[in-house]
Amino acid sequence: MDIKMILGILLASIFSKNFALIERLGTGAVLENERSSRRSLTLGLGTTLVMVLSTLITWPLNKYVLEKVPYMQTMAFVLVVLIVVEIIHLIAKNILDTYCKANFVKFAINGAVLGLCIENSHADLVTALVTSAAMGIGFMLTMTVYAKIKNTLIDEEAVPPTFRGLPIDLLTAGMMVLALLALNFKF
Amino acid sequence: MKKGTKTSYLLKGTPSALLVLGAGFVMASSHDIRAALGMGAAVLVALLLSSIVVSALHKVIPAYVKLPAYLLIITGFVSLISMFMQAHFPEIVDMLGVHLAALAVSAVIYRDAEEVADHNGEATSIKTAIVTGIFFTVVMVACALIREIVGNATLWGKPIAFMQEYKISTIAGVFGGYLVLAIVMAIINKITKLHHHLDEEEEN
Amino acid sequence: MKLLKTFVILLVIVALFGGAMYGLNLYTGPIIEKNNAGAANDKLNAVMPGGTGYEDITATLSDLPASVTEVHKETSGLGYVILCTAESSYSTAPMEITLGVSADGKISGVEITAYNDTESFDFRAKDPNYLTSYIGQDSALADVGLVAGSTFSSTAFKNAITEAMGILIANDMIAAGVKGDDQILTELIATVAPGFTKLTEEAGIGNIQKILTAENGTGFAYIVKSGDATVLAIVNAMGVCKVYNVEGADVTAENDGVVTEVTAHAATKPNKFTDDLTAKIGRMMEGAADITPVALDTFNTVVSAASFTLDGATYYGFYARSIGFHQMDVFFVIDENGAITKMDAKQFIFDEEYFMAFGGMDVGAYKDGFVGITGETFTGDETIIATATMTSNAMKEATQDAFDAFNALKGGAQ
Repeated sequence: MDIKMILGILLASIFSKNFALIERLGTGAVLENERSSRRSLTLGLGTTLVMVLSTLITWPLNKYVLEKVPYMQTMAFVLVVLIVVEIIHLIAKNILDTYCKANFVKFAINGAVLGLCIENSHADLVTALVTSAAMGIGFMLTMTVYAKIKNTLIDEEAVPPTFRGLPIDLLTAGMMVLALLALNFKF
Repeated sequence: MKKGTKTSYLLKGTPSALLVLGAGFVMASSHDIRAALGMGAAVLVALLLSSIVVSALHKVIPAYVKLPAYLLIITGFVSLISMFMQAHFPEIVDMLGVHLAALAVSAVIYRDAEEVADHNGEATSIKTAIVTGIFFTVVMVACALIREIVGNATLWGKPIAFMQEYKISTIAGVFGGYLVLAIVMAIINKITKLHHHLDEEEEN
Repeated sequence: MKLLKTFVILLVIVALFGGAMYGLNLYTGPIIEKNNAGAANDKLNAVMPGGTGYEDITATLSDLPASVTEVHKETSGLGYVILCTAESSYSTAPMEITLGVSADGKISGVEITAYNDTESFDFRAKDPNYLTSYIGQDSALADVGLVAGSTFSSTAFKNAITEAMGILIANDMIAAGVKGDDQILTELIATVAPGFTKLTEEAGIGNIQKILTAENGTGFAYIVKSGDATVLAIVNAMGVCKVYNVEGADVTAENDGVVTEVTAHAATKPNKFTDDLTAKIGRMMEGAADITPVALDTFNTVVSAASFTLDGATYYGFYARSIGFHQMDVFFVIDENGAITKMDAKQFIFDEEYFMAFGGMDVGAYKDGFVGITGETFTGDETIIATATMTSNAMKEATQDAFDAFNALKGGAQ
């Protein structure tokens, strides 16, 4: 694991394999986000922490315990994520709740975290941890940028009534997807 | 998650309000009709079962345990469903990949459990669950029809001969998911606006 | 108390669902396991109709080429399934092939599971029946051709199939297919006329059974009936003819009739290479005089040669047409001592945007790098253009061919 590989994973996580937009895990959490940049970043940072800590527990759990009972994987992983989120929430309750005015627990338990833990169980531990951190950063940036675009660039008045709400949100995110895919030369 | 946003789609309790939360798996499984139907069935059954259990237990479970308890109940049902599907529809499970497992933490099912099943009797909960499940299935199948035919020139995995030269693969790709779902939702918005009062009666 | 209650409730839920999952797994587990095993066999069954079970015999075989990854034996004795790979100049990664060979040595099915060559040259799209044409063939692959417009990829594919079947033959598991004269002679072209690339086939007339035309204009190959035997006649762009029999021996002297017939046919399709070379020499070497075309009996990519004088010294000009990413037109002027005096090409790379690094290439310096090289000092490194492997290889071939032509010319009592 050298710096080149770490950089590669980081770039892939932010751009070509962006979890929320390209892999469509945790898309709901991003699409719904219209928080200010500061709040988005705080929430995203919290989510990144959840991702790394969860992976740190789910990876060995999967390798040494769940190998024999693969059907228990989802249940066990959700339990781990739940515990990690609760612990982080307990410790950083003040920062998270006052800054974000949101229920961090509900936010952090999303498809991106669970999907990441499941996908990471196929990689080796170091790669898995680097990937988690990178994916978390990618997730954080995505939701911040998306909220910024949605709040400042989209003029709700100018959108045809039938396209207001979810359709315009999807198209906004879709434009971000196009930009990310363009970097990958793959439409 | 916060309530009462400036846009109107997050009307509490209506299925289209939940769609934004399920946009991820809707797009991920609407590239193929088989995947769409499989995911639709999984969502419907998971909603139904967890609604029944949550509405039966909501008085027993104290408020401070509700979140983890409901989450685990949903996870349990999703796991059982995915095991069953893996045995009988392995191709569909392959197509859905990690998105099937991620259904366990989908805010769609959780919110349904928390906001409907937690406050209502079993009859209302079951009705809401069925309406929501069918709504999701219909949306996914509608998207899948467009994406499979236009994007991949296939139907139910079978190639459509005369379409082969004219397929637009972007529609079947990631961006196509966003585009097609946006258009389908716009059409649904148009239709439901005409029947707005009906919608409310059905849901509340 | 709260914590304890939380813990108990969650434990009950997890235990209940855990139990349910365990129960369901008793029912679904065996089915899933069977499905997974079936999926592995499905891939093999696709090329081995009626196959029931398979045994991996890869480890028991000797002389396994690198292209063969796995060999499976059908347990009821129907035949073998080989997983192999093919790689061409257009490959980003090896192509993955599943090949079924029945016990009688005939191909029962073939599928490409991963196609990693340039998509626009996908031979499956250019000729949808191409893969089907392999079914029923023995190891001679007599009725299988190449796909026009996708020669590199389809050649690599065909060679991979031959190599894969070779492993079964080498291990005495199937009998080798017998090749007909026509096929042996057609395959001989690559050896005796290496410059004839991308051959297109048409039916012949009279004694000529088959005419093969090289796309790069280097010449024609003919399968001709000569008495009871069938021979291969090749005519290069300079009009020189050679005849070979099925043993691969040069039988030009005994086949005057054949030579006359095929030379006459080749003459009906004249080329302008000599005119081009003469004009080019005039531009490359100002003051060149006595430009005399020379006909050589080389069958490489050199399509025209000429001698000329300048300031009292004699020089030789060669025109080579090798194929890189596209058709190349390369001109060489070689002096009396065999050293390159000047090299020029119509264009090194056609599609500049494809080779993004090409913008930084110093064409003048590249050309100058050839000056002074002789057949003895040429290593091949002089032709390398960064990021353009195919063009570099084509330049290497053209240069080598020019030296070979020069040697043939000098050896030919000039």
